[in-house]
Amino acid sequence: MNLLIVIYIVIFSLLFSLVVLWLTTIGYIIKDKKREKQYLRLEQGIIESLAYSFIDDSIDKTENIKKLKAYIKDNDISFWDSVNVFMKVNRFIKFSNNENLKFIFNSLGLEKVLKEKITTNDWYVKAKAIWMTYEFGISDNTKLIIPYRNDDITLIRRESQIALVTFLGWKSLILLPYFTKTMSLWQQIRIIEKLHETEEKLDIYHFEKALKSENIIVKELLVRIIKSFKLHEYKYYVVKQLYSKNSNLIKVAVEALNELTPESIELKQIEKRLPNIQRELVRNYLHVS
Amino acid sequence: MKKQVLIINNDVGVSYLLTKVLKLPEVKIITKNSYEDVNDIVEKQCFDLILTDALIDGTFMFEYIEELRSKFPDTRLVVMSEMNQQSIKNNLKIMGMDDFISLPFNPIKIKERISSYL
Repeated sequence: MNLLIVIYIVIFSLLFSLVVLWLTTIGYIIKDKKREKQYLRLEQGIIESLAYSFIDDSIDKTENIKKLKAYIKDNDISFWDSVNVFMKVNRFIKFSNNENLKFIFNSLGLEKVLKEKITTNDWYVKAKAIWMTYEFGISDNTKLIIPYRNDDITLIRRESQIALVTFLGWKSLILLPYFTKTMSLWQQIRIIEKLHETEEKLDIYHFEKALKSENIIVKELLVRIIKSFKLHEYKYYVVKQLYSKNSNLIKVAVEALNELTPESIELKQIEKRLPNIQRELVRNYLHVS
Repeated sequence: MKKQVLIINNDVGVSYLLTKVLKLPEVKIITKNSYEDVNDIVEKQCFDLILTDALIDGTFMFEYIEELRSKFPDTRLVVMSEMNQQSIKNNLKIMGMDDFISLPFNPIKIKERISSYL
């Protein structure tokens, strides 16, 4: 084989690879465009069904839902794509407050799939499904979520705990003594936010059960709850935390006391009774704040 | 003559949702999904009401509202957002906003509120 033939073969192979690459890229672009178009049609279909039900309750939604169901099935649209449309609508019209939204969600069979996703072995899918469950206010899934409240995977544990507070309100605090793992500040903020969203009043029985928790991070959360809801009758609990060996818990307790006890004289008196190390810490935090 | 309402939101789906929810007789709703699109229609049309998201890609919130107000001095300007802190609302008011709708909203109440402006 002479050199010229080798060069031809190399050039041909390179050109062939280039053509294959171009065709693959074009194929991907077409597929993406088709998917985008399908998603937009799905989005419009779901939004249309929802909008009709908001405008006039007497309109028969079943025909629209039938069409939507067929469209999802025929075009092999993924569960996540359908759910994403509901998430988008949920940003504007709160799902948990709207029976029409729930009806359409269930009619499309999405609630059933969501249940399956909660029990899947994929930790990310499980956490996402739990998050969607409380965002959509599907309280029927509470029993499925309870076993994950102390899960080893942070994301699953976080979403489960927030879900339980969303569905059970103050009653969920009875589970706090069983939380043995850590909790981020963001998670604590979300839990307090969900407690503020519940329409029930403070449930003393369940709250006092929660106060028995030994977990430092749960104590921190409870102090933040006392501060946020201005529960003056539980000031004693906050003062008790000033004796803790955990500097962060002392800091959170000082912040709470600053809000619950605006009179600095009372704080000074509490400070005097503290052991040396804790007294120094409290002084430092008070100085900073 | 039909009243003209301009809905501005980056998301096509959200604009579609708002168009459906706010459907009213004798009202023509126009949607725009980008800052550039809004700039394009400034010279061509005037509106009775503008309903916009506070955050539009390609611009900054307060400057954007100020700009809208200067371009449409006689139009009712309603801003919707999830950020419903009082300080933000106050600043938006200074920039020329007429009303603020915090998200999520009740579709029936929102329709009533928007109709009252038209």
